[in-house]
This record gives sequence, C-alpha cells and structure tokens, in this order.
Amino acid sequence: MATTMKNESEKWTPIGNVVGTASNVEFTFVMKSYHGRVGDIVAVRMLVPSEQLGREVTAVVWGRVVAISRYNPFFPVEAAQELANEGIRPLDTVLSISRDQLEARCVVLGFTLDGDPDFRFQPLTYPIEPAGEVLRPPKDALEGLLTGPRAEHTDDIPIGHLISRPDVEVKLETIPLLARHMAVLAMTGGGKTVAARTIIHHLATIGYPVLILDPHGDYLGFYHKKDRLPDGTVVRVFYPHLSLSSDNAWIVTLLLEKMTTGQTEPQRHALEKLMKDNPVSGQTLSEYFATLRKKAFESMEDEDGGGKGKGATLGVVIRQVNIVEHKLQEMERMNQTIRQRIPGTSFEQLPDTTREPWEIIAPKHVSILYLGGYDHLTQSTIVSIVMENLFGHRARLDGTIPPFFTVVEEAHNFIPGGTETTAGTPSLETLQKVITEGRKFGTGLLLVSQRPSRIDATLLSQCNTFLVLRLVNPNDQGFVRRVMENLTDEDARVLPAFGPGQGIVSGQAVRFPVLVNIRMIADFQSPRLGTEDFISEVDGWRKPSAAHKLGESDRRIQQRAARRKRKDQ
Amino acid sequence: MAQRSSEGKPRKGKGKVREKANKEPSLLALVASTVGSLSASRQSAFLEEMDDLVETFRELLDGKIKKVSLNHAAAWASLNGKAVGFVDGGVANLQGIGAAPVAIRVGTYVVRPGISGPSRERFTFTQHLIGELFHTRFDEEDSEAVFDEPSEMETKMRDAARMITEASGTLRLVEKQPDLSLVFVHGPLVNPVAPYADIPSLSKEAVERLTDEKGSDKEDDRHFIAVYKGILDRLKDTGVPMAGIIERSSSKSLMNSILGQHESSMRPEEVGDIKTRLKEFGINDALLFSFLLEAGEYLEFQPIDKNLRAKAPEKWEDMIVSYPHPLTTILKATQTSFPFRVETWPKTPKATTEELLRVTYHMARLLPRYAFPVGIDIADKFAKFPAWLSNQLSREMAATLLRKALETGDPETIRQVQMLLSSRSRDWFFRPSWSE
Repeated sequence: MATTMKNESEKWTPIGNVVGTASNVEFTFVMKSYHGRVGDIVAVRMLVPSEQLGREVTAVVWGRVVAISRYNPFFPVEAAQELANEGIRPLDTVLSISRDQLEARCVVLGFTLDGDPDFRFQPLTYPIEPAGEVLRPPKDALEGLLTGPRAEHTDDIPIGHLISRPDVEVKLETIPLLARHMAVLAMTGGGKTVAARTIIHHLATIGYPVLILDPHGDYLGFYHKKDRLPDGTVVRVFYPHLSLSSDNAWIVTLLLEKMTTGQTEPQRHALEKLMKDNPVSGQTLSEYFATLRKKAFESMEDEDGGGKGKGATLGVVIRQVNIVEHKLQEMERMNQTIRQRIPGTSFEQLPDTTREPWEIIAPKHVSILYLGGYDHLTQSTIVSIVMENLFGHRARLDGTIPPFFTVVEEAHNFIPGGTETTAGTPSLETLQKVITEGRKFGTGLLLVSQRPSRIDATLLSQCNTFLVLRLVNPNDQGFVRRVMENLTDEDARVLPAFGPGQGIVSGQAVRFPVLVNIRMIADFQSPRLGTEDFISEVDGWRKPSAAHKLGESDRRIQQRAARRKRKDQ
Repeated sequence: MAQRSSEGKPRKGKGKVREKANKEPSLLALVASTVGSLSASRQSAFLEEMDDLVETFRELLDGKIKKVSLNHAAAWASLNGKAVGFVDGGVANLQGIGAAPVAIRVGTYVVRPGISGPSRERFTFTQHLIGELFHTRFDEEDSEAVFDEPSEMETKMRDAARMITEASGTLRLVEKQPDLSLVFVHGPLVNPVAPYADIPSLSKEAVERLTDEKGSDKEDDRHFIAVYKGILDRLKDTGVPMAGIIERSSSKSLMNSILGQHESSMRPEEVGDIKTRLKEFGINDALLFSFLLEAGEYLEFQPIDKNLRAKAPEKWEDMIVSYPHPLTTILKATQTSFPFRVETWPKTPKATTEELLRVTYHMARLLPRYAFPVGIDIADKFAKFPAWLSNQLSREMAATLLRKALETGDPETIRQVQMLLSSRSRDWFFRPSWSE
C-alpha cells in the first residue's frame, strides 16, 4: 500500500506538531488530547536530501511514541496539598483542571519514500522538520509498513495486534524466527505461554515440526484439542525414557556426583572402573544403575579377599548408586502420578531419540515431552540427551528428521547463567550448541522464561527476536535492557506497566520494535494443573478407608520384597 | 513618640514583633532586607521601634481589623455554578531593535466552580498591543504604534501602555461576558496618573483598539489620562464586583490613610513623629501589616485617593481628581506570608466586599506558601510571554530590519544595520570600521 498522502489524506489524521530540537533519531511533539498512546506509530511527512546533492525527495518519516508526559502548568503542587488536607475537590474551586499539555517523545524508526508501494525502509539521516505535522497513519499504511516488501506473507505468524491499534495486525516473519531463535520473557501471568501457544499453533497449522519441552504441562491443550488443528496434524505426548549410550555415559558420573554428597577420588576411580568393566549398551538410566549395583556387589565380594579398603570404597559407591537409583525411581513414580491426574491424555514412552527420532520429529507433528515430577538436574539431563541426539541427526544431515522448532519452557532452568550453577546443568552445553549452530541446520529454539536474569546472557543474546511482556523484577528488567540492543530506556520503563498479553516485540522477525497485544487462542489452554480446587478437596476429605489402608500395606510388602531382592543380589 | 501607657509600663503586646520575627523566617527575611539599608544605630533600634509602631497602629485600628473564617466547603459552595473571571497582563521582553518594540497582551481565565465539562473553564486573550511604541517620521503609512510621537519618557510610555491595555482587556472581558459574578485583576484597579501627564498622546489606532471606539482628532482627548479614565469609568459602571490584588506592595498609602483618618484625634507632633519614623526605618504597608495582622485578618475597606489634586498638573487637574477612589484593604492569608493589598470600586456594597475578600482569602489558601489568590496566579501564567516567544519576536524583528536594509542596496545602510544588530553593551559598536 502506498503512502501517497494526496490520495489518502483524509485517512492521515493530524495529531500534533513537532516541538523543540528534533534530530534524526528522536523528536518530541505536542499531542492533541486523547489522540495517541505510548506504542503508537506516527508519521511526519517532510523533505529529505536525495542522493543527488542539493535535491530533495518527499519522505514519510516513521516514529514510535515511547513516552508521553502530561502536565497541567496551571495546577500548582501546593494547591493539591491543600485540597487533600481540606478534603475538597479541585472541580469545586477556581483551580484549572482542563489545561493538560501532552508531550510525546518518539524514536525515529526510519523513513519510506512517499508513494513507495513496498514501504522500503531506510535510515533517516536528516533531522525531523521542526513544527512538522505529526500524523496518525491509516490501517493500510501501517500494515504495509509492518509487513514491508515481502511478496508473500502467508507463512507469517499473526502474533496479535498493535497495542494501541486493534485494527492493525502484527505478524512475525517466520524464516528468521525458525532459524535464528526467539525468546519470550515475562513474569508469571504476563502471557508468555499464551504467546508461545500462538506461535506453536501457527507452526502446527503450516505443518512445521514442533518439539515442546514442557515441565508443567502448559501445552497439553494441543493434545486435547488436536481436532482443532488442520487435518493430518499429529500431537503426541511423551514421558521421559532415556537410553544410555557410550556418547552420554558421562551422565552416570554427573548424577552420582550431584544427587549424592559427592565422590572422593578413590570412589570416582572405583566407579570409573565399574563403568569400564560394564559399558553402557542401550539400557535406560534405571537399568544401568541396577547393573552397576549388581556388579559392584560382586566386585566387593571379590575385593574382600584382596583388602578391606577397596571393599569399603565399593560399599560407598553402592550406597551412592542406590541413592541415585532410588531417586530416579521416585521421580519416575511422581511423573507417573501426575500423568494419572491428567485425564484423557495418552502418554507415550519417549522413543529412542538415537534410533527412532522420526517418531518425535516429523512434518505435521507436535511432540510434547512432559517433564513434570523430575528435579531440575534430571530434567536438564533428559533435555540434554534428547536435544543432543536430535541435533546430531540434523547436523549429520542423515535425512532421518526434517528441520524442527523446539519450545523450551522454563528456559532459565536449562540454560542458567550468572550466579546459577552451570556445572550441574548438562543441557546448557547442548542448547548452547543448538543456539550457536542451529541456524545452519534448521533447529530453531523458542526460549520461554519468567526469570530472564537467570538465563545465560550470551546465549540469550543469540536470540534474534524477542518478545518481552510484563516484567516487574528490576533485575530482570535491567538484564533484558542489556541483552536487547534496540530496547530504549523508555521501553524498559514501560515493562512493569504492561497488562497480561501486552508486550514489546523486536528483532529480525519484525521490521522495528512494536508494542503488541498478543492474540489469545483459548482453544489450546491446558488442563489447569496446579490450580485445581484444593479447598473443595479438603472439604470432602475423609479418613483413609480400610481399603486404602490395605493398599498401603501392599505397598510396604512390595518395598520390603524389593529390598530383600537387592540384598540377595 | 507614640503614647505610652499611663504608668509608663510597656503596653500589652509589646515584644511581639521580636517574637514573631524569630518564629517566622519569612518575616525575619523581610526585616533583614529592610534593616540592611539602615545605619547601625537604626538597625539596633529597629525591632523596638517596629514593636511600638505596630502597637500604635493596633490602637488606631481598634475594631477595624476583621477576620475571614477559614471554611473551604462553604466558600466554594457559594460560588457553585457562578462565573468567576481573572485578568492579568503579559509583557514581552524584547531586545531593543528598531524604534521601540512593544508587545503586551491581556489573558483572562473564566471558571465556573462545581461545573464539569468544557463549559467549566475558558481561557482567552482579550486585548493585545504589538508593534512600535511610538510613530516616527520614517514610518510607513500603514504602520501601527501606541503613541503619536517619540519621547524621552519611554519607560513611562511603556508603563502607561501596559496599564491601559490591562484595563482595556478587563473591560472587554466584562462587557462580552456580563454574567460574571466576580472579577479579579492582578494589580491595582486604579493607578496614579499624574506622572504620565507629559507623555505624548495615544495614536488614533491605539485608542480604537483599546476602547473599541473611534479615536478623536483632538490630541488631548487621546491622551493617556483621558482615555484611561474613560475605560475605568466604563469598568466601574458595569456594576460587576471587581477586585484588584496587589502583591508585595511597597506603598505606604494605607498607613498614611489611617493616620489621615485620625488627624483630628491625634496631636500633629505625634502624627509627624510616626511619619518620620516610618520613613527613617523604611517601613511600608507590607512590613507593618505582616506583624500587625494574623492569618485571615484584614482591615476594614477604606477609600484611598491615589490621584491627589496636589500632585496633579494644572492642565489635567480636574480630570485627575475625578478618578475613582478605590476602596482598599490589606489581607494576610497565612501566618508565614506577607499580606497583599485588595482594591475594589468605591460604593461597592459591604456584602460584596466581604464576598470578594472571602473568595480572595480561600483562593490564597490554595497556595499556602505563595499565599496569593490562585485564580490570578493561573491568569498570570496564561498571560505571561514565554522566553522562547519573546526571543522569537526579537529574531523576527531583527530579520525584518536586515531585510529592509538589504533591499536598499546601500552598503553604508547595510553596514550600519549589521553593526546595530551585532552590538552589545561593551563591544565595538562605536569604533571606526576597518574601511574608514
């Protein structure tokens, strides 16, 4: 849509005039009351120098309102104090309450040539015209500006609409998003999951493979409402089931080190020898720990003849293996229990990501890996192994899986930075590789976090598109300000004032930073895990029944039998 | 010396000035600024003399000091829905280029308390004078100026132009909006005019602009004293209750008026002694009444003749003595502030003067530190020429002058104008140029 003002003059509404000293990067205008808001995109039509010296061309300079100050010079502060003390309304006195002055500060986005149908954006290198008329652009012009010269926009993701213009849709360009990663940052309730769901929904609509790493079940709505996705879309929900291989045997050492009180040098040697004598061969973690325990017992019996010291060391290692095995089993049980609380969901065991990656990643597939019940270390371990294997397939170009997009919920737990413990987070290294090299292999990431300041800054800055919704924590605000290069101070100040679903999107997926109201797709909301009516549950609570007590008895018997079995081994 | 009590003991209330000055830093500052210009012996005697004078005036004013009760709810309820107007003039600070540029405007603010919506407030400029202060023989035919001819009394001409423009702006407001219940003006309602007897007459176009009537061919009819009197009479005759508010007055008219009223009951030597001490110690109305009045107190209104026959030149004597004698009082709004003077038209009914004072007092209470009626403060801010506008006007005038010089094509004229425009107080304006 062209920006020719002659034909569309009736749609370009004057809302103020430029005042003060204007530059090529920012300007201020006095605004007509109630004719603009922070986040608005406005235009100033003016002459700029052309490439030929001494000649000029007509341009439409675009700006974004980043702050509006409003003051009434006729309403003195001391009068307000007196009114408050005396309990009287300004309206009842002779005080003036109507002379508001509105000064809107704008950052210059760039300019387009008047009449350019493609809205080719150019940097402004000439100052804004003082006293220039500031215009509110019509919908068509704004949409043209937001979209730019791309011929086809069918794949673009309709993320929402301009915060102050419900009539102007905001779309994210898909290609840079899929290859170059995106971060969605917001405090709890800010709308980050809603935004992620909107993006996932669109990718599912175009059949692009999506893997969701979901610690809380926020995305299970896609499974329950899969009939509302296009025909042929497959939505699968997996629970973790990891197979060990020689490539990831380090996990055993890590879990033993982190889940227990740590290992001494002799204990570490003893474990390494055990592992060397019993190499991993496709077992699950639990199975391999059981094998290690059994072999350690056997060795200990042999060592008893050879010296008490070695036998004692092996005894400690066995206890450590026991602890880890037990914890893993507890977490598996917890995961299972939570899964049972989500009715109508058919959870599948996670296929072997080495041998059957196509079961997870395939066109028109949305795969959700439900990580509920596992602690951070184990979740990180699982994510590390899964992503390592899937990325490996893409990096080897072995043709087993197509490009895919991964949603990492609670990203601060998987790529922690700063003061967080990075040594015990195996996923950090893996995701670092995916982020750094993902653009070459089509393994884009969507990092979703409510605590951005706990994410590794270097990795976060690799994201080329940001959607920042409401953030109240000053550390998070400061961190985001540092990481996002084109976030202005005013933008950072407005972050805590955003309502749910309101935010600022910037980066390669948009032409310039815009304030956006995220589109809410209610269909795919998840079952409300964690927000069930616990009060009603307590109200209806009864003493454990006899049958329940019998069940408890069964459980104790089983535990006792398992202990005996281990002892016998 | 003032009368002492019969036993020669200090009178009741003595020592209050020192106590007040110690308690109220603003009063102490006023005392300090006054005392600073006195001799050492008078400085040491100042507080004691002040104490005595305050006590003397308190006795003279026995029963004439009144008080407004502070009751915001009742005060504002009494104005509910009524139109209240405020007037103030603004004068641009123009750099001296050309003959004598002048830019004066009158801003008005009309508000209806208790009413919401767009009809509650109205801000307008009711009068303005922008152009040259006086005509010169070089003027073009269509040029406008305030006075007919130049004069050395430029400062007085500017003062006169300001006073008459403000009065004219007030008149326009009142005549165009007859439903005004009260009108408050920043400054006196009536100014002394005798000092302006020798300034040139106003130009015809200025008279027309100021009075909305055709300017007379007779120079005397267009003289400031005559035209100003005509505007004041029209204002007075509108019958709209009106008050002029004067802040930080250095006048002694109230003290003199009080002494004048008691001439028959005081020995002439006592009156003379008081007047001498007031003069020697630099005490004016504001200083005396700062100590004499408490918050909310004011004097009973009394007529003040600002245009005395004794000071009037013979030519204008009859007209000057016929100027209105405004009723005047002084009101102290808060304990820590200076009192301000309030004037209203003669023969204003007592109920109206009380209403004017009640509203004035409650408006001043809305600015507790400044202690000045807030409505006038609003009009003042509205009318004031911002610095950027004054600067822009100066630039425009400089550009016009230079353009005219360039149009002549005469190198000497252009050089003179360039030197004029770039001159500063200590530069080379009068030095020989390199070409000489």
